[in-house]
Amino acid sequence: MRHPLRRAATLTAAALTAAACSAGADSAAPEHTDVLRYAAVGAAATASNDPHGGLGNESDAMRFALVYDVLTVAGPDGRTAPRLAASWEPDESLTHWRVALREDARFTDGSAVDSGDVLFSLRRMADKAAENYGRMAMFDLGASRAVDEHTLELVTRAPFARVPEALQSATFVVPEGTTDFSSAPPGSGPYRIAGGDPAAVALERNDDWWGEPAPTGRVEISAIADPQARADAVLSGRADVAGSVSPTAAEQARGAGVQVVRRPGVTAYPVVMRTDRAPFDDPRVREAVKLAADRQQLLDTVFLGFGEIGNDLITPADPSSPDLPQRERDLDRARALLAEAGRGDGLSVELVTTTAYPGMDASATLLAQQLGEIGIDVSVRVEPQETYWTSVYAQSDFYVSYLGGIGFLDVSRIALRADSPTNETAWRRADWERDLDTALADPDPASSDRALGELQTRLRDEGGYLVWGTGDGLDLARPGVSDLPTGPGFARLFVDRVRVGA
Amino acid sequence: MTSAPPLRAGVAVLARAGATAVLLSVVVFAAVEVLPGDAAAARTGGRADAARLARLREATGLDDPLWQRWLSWAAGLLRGDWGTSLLTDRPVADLVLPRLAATAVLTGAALLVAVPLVLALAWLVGTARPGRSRVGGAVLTALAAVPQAVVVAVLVLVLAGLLRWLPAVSLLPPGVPPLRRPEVLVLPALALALPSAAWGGALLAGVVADACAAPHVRDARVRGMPPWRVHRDHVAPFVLAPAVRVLAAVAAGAVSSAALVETVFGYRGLGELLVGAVAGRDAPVVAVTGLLGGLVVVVGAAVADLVALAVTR
Amino acid sequence: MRPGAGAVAGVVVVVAALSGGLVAPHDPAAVVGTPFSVPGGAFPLGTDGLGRDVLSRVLAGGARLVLLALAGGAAATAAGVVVGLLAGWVGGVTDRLLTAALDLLAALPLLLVALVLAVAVPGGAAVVVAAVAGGAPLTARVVRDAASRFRGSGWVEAARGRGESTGAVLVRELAPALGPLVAADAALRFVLGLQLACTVALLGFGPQPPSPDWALMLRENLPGAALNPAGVAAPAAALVLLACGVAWSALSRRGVAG
Repeated sequence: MRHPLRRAATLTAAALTAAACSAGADSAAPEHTDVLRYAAVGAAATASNDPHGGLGNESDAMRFALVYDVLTVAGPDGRTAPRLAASWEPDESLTHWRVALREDARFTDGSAVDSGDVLFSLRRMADKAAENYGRMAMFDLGASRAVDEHTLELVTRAPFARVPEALQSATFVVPEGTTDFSSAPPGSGPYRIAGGDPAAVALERNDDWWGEPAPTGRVEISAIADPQARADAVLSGRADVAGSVSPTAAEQARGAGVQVVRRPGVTAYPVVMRTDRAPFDDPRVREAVKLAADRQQLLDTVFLGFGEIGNDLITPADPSSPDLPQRERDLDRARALLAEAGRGDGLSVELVTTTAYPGMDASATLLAQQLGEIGIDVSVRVEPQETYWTSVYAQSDFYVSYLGGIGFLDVSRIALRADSPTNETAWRRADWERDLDTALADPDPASSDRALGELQTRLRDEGGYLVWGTGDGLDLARPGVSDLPTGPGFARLFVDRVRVGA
Repeated sequence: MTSAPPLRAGVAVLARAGATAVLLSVVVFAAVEVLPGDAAAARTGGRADAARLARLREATGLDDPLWQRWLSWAAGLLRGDWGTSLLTDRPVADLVLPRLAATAVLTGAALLVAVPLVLALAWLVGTARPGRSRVGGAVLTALAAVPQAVVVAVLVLVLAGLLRWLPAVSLLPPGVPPLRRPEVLVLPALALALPSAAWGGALLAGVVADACAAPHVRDARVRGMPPWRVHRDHVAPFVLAPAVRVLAAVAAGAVSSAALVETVFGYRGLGELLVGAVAGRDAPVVAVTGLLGGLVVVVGAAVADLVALAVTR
Repeated sequence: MRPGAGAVAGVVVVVAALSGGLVAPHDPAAVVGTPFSVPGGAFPLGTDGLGRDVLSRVLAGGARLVLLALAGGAAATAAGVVVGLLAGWVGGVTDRLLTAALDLLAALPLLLVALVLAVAVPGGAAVVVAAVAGGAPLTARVVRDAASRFRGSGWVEAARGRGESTGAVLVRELAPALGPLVAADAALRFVLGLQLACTVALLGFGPQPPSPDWALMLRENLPGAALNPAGVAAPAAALVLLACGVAWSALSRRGVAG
């Protein structure tokens, strides 16, 4: 279907422009069964070669995931699986971890990957904490050391049982001593760079990789900022996969014979109520708000139904998230709670939102209507997205926040400790943090998960988050493309097992 | 107008262009300063605390006074060091140069269409009988007024949607220069060329009409000179200077519109880079990109002035 | 193409765009039908990709663009007239300085100005300021030339001879002579404002979905144009009518003035 079109296009172009001398030969484009062309979220202006920074461009992070080895990855069951780290073992205190590396990994420049390279890369990530939200904050990397060529000893700041998870997905390893990231340093992953620049890169299978060879010989990743242009790229056959399109585009693509791949639980717009300032310092007011939200209507309007109703659990996709009865809308109970709190005869609040992500503003407008039904008079203020994250986020009393599918450990680190950099709900519970530390130091995954689930339940019932739903991540794929990753968080980046059919 | 010796007038034109270029660099550099927040905040997504931001600002030199940063930036430009992106630590030249080439190819293709079109339309409308000329002028004015968004939509709808001749997105495989895939250039080049050709044609048609109405042209016609010779010997020299001016403006317009067209078609050029760099407050990239765009305007105007000097001497 | 037909068309579209939201049969953001249904029945222009009423969205989607273009056009014209009068009337060093400043302003990449502003100031203010930056120099040049020609003409000397003050000369003699010229020019500044507003909206610095906006609708509805062509044709026609109508009004006025 694509080929006659392409040929017609080339012929027309050759007729229209005089510069057709080389076009004829070149336009015999490679047969695309062995090429994956991925239109990923990203902007040329922010395309970077530094795998230890903020990973703001999905196109960059995806390239890193293919070109560099990481220590561990998320396995099919959601549990951590080995990658460059072959095995790991803590000491009694859970503060000193021995990590054994594979011995057969080589960078594309031929040198072997050793523990010095890994330690260098982890330390570099720790140095760039401001950019990567303190991804290595739990480690004392100054005290960590290389035991031998292929063994590391990682030291944590407190007893910590979740080291394998903390090393998951984003621990890209570059050669020790790399300081120049103006061009890409060599990697040791399943693919190697074959051409292009960070905003549009061609990768080819790294035949020297230690693992099972990737099924697709070539991957081309293009950074495209405009969501509609990404969708158009797939619809017109110029790309095989478009990452993160809008629900509108997905709805439209369904009719055009294109696959819509849903990655559950990726986007949430939690409504933040600051627990240390009136009126939301009263837990009854917070509960009334949670009871008054019409979650189904919000989901249908904001995510066009592509998602799940929320139960005020902050990370419902996390393996440790507890299974609780759904919180239902109950306007009578909500009004009663407001009355008990002394707010029975009306309450006026301002809800701040922005347009940074599609539907954030709509969610605020709709919630304002819904809260009006229990006598809360909500005025919505839309703040420009450029200043939202500096002047509203983690500062205002009542606003629409954003969570991009990160796990509970990450959320608790950045937002739920007394000294967290962005403790947006002012959640300061010494007992809760103590229990969190205990759970993190529990070497038994099952009981640790139970404890973490218990903590999430307390946050759900007492905390300042209204999580009315989570939206699916939506990718478009041409027919024949299979095995696209659908896991949470960084799992979506690992497209090294994707197959492109005929 | 011709009182100054041509050489001195030419030097004056160049001096004015140079001064404008320097002022332009100041304005462009200062413009980025009015952006709220800065690259340090953009880079950390607003999630870093004040101390970390301060350290990042110090490391990237964001704390120096504005004039100092402008001076060192301008000096670097002259040395060939275009600075480093605040967002990505990559050399600005690495980001800008490949895209500069892509945008040059695109706007070049657009001008390849626009320039002959401007001249043809201007002659067609300018030399037509009064009634037709007015209708033609009105049509050109209308076409020039149509927002580019409509032009893009109609082109995509007809050429990519209905006729399926051309791709709706101008996505190039990595590392493949646009000239190797000329089909991706056609739609964006037409989107750039058509509105500016209509605009330039409307402007120039008036000049052509005036030139044709000049007494010596009528005289030549009455004397029985063949029309093509009338045009070559009596109309064309008269129109040359304004034509160069209009074409310079058409080129400037194409460069300025490139940001929209490149973004909509997903074409990897300078305009697309500019849009992202502005959103990320990446001052060095915005400044260099904006300066390059402005220089096209300045150089175009200077060339037009020099041509005017040469023909009116 | 009678003179004034354009002006009438322009005024009609401006009024329709400003008041259209009031008579929209449906909520422009509400899903009311099946996606991309063809015109007919309850939906005279069919529905868009989400099943929203195209007619309602067209009716409601022009107000912001028109207001921005009006504000931008008015501000650019006002600024251009003031600067042009100053330069043309006072002359000398003032003229040279102002002309140099205008040259610089004209050399600025207009879209860069618009984009930087769109990030710095919320909403349509960016479009208005950019329209002034891009349009005022053009108006100023026209007014300056006219004013300096007028100043050198006998009229002013005669008025001065009658003992009239500068202000009186400006108001009584210059304003009527410049009026038609400025009016025609203002129409072109409106068109520039409209084009800027569309561009800024398309680059994502303007209204966000689901707000209806003619420029955004073009893009939203393009993928379904084969199913419901009206989804693209209607906003395109509205924009073309508006832009061409106003531009033609400039032509016909200029015809009268000249």
